[in-house]
Amino acid sequence: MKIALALLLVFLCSPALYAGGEPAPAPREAVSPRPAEGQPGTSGNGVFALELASGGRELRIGPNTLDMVLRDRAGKGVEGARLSVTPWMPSMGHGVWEKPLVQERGGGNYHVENVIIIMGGLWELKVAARKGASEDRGVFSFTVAEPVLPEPEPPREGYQRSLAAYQIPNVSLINQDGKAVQLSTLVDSGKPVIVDFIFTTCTTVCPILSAGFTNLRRELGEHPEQVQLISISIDPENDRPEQLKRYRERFQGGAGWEFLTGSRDDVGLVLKSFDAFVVDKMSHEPLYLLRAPNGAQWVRIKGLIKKSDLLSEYRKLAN
Amino acid sequence: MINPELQAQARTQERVQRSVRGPGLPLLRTLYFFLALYLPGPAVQAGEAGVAALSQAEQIRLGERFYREGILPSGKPVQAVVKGDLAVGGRMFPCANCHRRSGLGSVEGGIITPANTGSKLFQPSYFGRELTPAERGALPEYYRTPARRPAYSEQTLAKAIRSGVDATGRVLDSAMPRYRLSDGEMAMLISYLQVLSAEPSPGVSETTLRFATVVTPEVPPRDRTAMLATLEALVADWNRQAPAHAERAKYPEFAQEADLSFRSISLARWVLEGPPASWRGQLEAYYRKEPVFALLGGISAADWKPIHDFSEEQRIPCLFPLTDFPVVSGSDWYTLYLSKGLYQEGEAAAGSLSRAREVTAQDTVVQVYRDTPQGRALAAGFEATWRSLGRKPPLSRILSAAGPIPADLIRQLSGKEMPPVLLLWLGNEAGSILERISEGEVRPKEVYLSASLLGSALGTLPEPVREFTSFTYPYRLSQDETMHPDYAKVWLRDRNLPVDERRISSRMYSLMLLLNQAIPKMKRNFYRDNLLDQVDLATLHGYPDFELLSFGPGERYASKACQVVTLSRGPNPILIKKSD
Repeated sequence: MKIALALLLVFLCSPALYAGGEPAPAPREAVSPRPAEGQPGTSGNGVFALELASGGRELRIGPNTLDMVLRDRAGKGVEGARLSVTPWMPSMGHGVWEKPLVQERGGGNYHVENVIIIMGGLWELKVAARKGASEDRGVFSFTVAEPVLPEPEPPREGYQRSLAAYQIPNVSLINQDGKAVQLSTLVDSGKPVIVDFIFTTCTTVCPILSAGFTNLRRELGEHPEQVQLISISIDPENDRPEQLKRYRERFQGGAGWEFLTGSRDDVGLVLKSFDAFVVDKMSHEPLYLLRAPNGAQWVRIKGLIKKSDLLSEYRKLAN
Repeated sequence: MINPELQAQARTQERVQRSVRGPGLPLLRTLYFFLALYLPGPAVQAGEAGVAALSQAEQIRLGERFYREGILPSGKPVQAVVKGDLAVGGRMFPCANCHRRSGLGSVEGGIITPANTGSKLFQPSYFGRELTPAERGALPEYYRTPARRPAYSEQTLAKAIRSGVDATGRVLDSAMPRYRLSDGEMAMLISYLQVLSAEPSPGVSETTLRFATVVTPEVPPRDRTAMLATLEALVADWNRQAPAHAERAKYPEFAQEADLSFRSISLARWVLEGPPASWRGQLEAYYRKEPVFALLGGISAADWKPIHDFSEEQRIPCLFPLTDFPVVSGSDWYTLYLSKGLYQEGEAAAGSLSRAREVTAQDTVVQVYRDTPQGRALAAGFEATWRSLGRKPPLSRILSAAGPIPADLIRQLSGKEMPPVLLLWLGNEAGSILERISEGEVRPKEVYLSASLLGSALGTLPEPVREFTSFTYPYRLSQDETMHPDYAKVWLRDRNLPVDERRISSRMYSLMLLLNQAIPKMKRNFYRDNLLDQVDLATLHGYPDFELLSFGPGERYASKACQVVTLSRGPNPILIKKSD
């Protein structure tokens, strides 16, 4: 659907580009070196033209996805090209560790994921495109807004509560039974959702978080699966499905409580999207993220909380 | 079967107990004892009356089980409440989780768990450095730090465990569960706490920590030398710190924990001879002659199991032994391996195959391997993981340990009987099979081999073969090394130690990094379990060789993954990560 929209917008906008009509909303063009006069949309050597589809107007701190269209001089989409995208911050002279991933979508469309931007300021995306012997480069500039810290509510009885919006990345993780699970499907199931972050060899914090879930499920009586509980491992290398299954049994888990792991990259992406990433697992903080069914905002609770508090927060969600 | 160590602990416990027992409980105990004479009950799983009637040794054994697993003598999990109102059962919050197996406590997620060994609980606890009473008394008034709490007694300790009120009357953090224990169960637990880390482990003196390293007879001399030379360089570096620490330790007002706790290291060589069945006896003889605190490194080209079992049963830590055949267990505690060896390569192959898009659930997997420890380890690692992923068990074609590859196998692998997925856990003899496959008409969807087994033959595989083969490779790729400064090579070169392609010296360098973190964190709590507890908290900066190392409570295989790679084209091929 998104690709169709991007294509449609590109299609709608390109007459504007080439016919000199209304420029807005125009797709972003590669700008450096400056495109030659009268040749809008060319870049670098002028071999290819690179455009960002409308979905890529902004870069934010954290993970981003973009769609690009690569065209040859005749305006036809170039398929089978190798694209590389490198984020770069000119004023600071550094890039980022994570490599953006490019997937070809056909018709000259390329979908770029895992563009992780780590701070606010002026950023460039340097794109290199190669097909056969033809090679070209281009640069897109972005101004990334500084992070806006969410307004915390006044702390209540030892825990911090705030509201936040998170973008769930399009990844597939693995649950305790070894099955692939689409995270967005789990989260958008129409049930209230609570997410926490654990690792199975954790000694102190995670057992308390998980015991909270155990008690919540017990309170819900006959149908504990009416709330979707998700525990994501912050030690995916060690927490393979068998470990998660054993941990889940320790805490009397069952239907409605999924434990997720996966590749280090996928799990890292998810953790960053939820602002729960830590470099060293031993210094992780207790966190519950709660969301009403199909809600827009998440309640972020930092700190270990009592059963009565968790229950009252849950009841607010369910209503 | 009662462990002699536990019997010694029981004697210690009697001694300690006499000094701290208060009134009240002995009367109850006497009543229970008489009741026990009339009430039935098995000796091991004991009801209330039975607990009190058990021998000290048995109480300690059950106390240890409760401490580590949260199971009461009756066999049921203990009930507790945490965070004020979260009801929890024993398996969720055994004492050992936060207080750790050594009882020395931990810091995690912003929660500080203090020590709960009897020797510390029944003494006052002070802010600042851990000093002996004599040292504290010798400090000038100005330098003395206040007490955090007075000593517990059995009564106040029971109150802390049941109601969360400490020896000063303050309420303990709500992260500490409040446990529901009967008097008999409480007495059992306190018996155990009194012997937990009560005496320093063997192999420790005022000046020296004694370690040993184990060498088995079939190891080639070059490898043995590489390991011993690196270990001895590491020990020499460590011991060079001694004068500086000793100098600062002369000034007790200013000496840091690191100065007070510093001990030189001595390293004994436990050279084993003869067949593996005789090794256990030799290890015990070496130990009897001179007990050690722990084993460092060690090297074997054959089975490591006899040494693993020795460590496990004698409860002696063994850190980073060099072996391709670690004992793979989910629950053993005392040996920390760098990786699961060849077994892990088999695991990685299964993981990678499960993600390969063209391989379906119906595709048959055939493993070809020789009946040698190498072949068996690879095949076992693959099969265990493949089954756990819910796939059809693989077919195995096991070749004898030596001899040519049977003709019928070669026939099968070049005709219509070609399996869709082929695992060739062979050395350089795989080359001839691979060439037959590349010449044939039918190709498998995937062919996997082990880079470790192929050794130098990997780089010389012909180009047509590289198109359809993948390799399990346990180390970080050389092109990724540029991101990680190679401190190991610099350190080794400065000491004229060879950087060998078997990575023996670099893996001993990793051991040094680990010891540099874990030993000082023990402070003067020289207990073997404490060494492992501190190892679990180690951080990972600067370790060479492996891509994904990590430590954690109870984790005993530091390398968490193994790569799957393909070979690039050209005369000097490099390894490329295989894309999913």
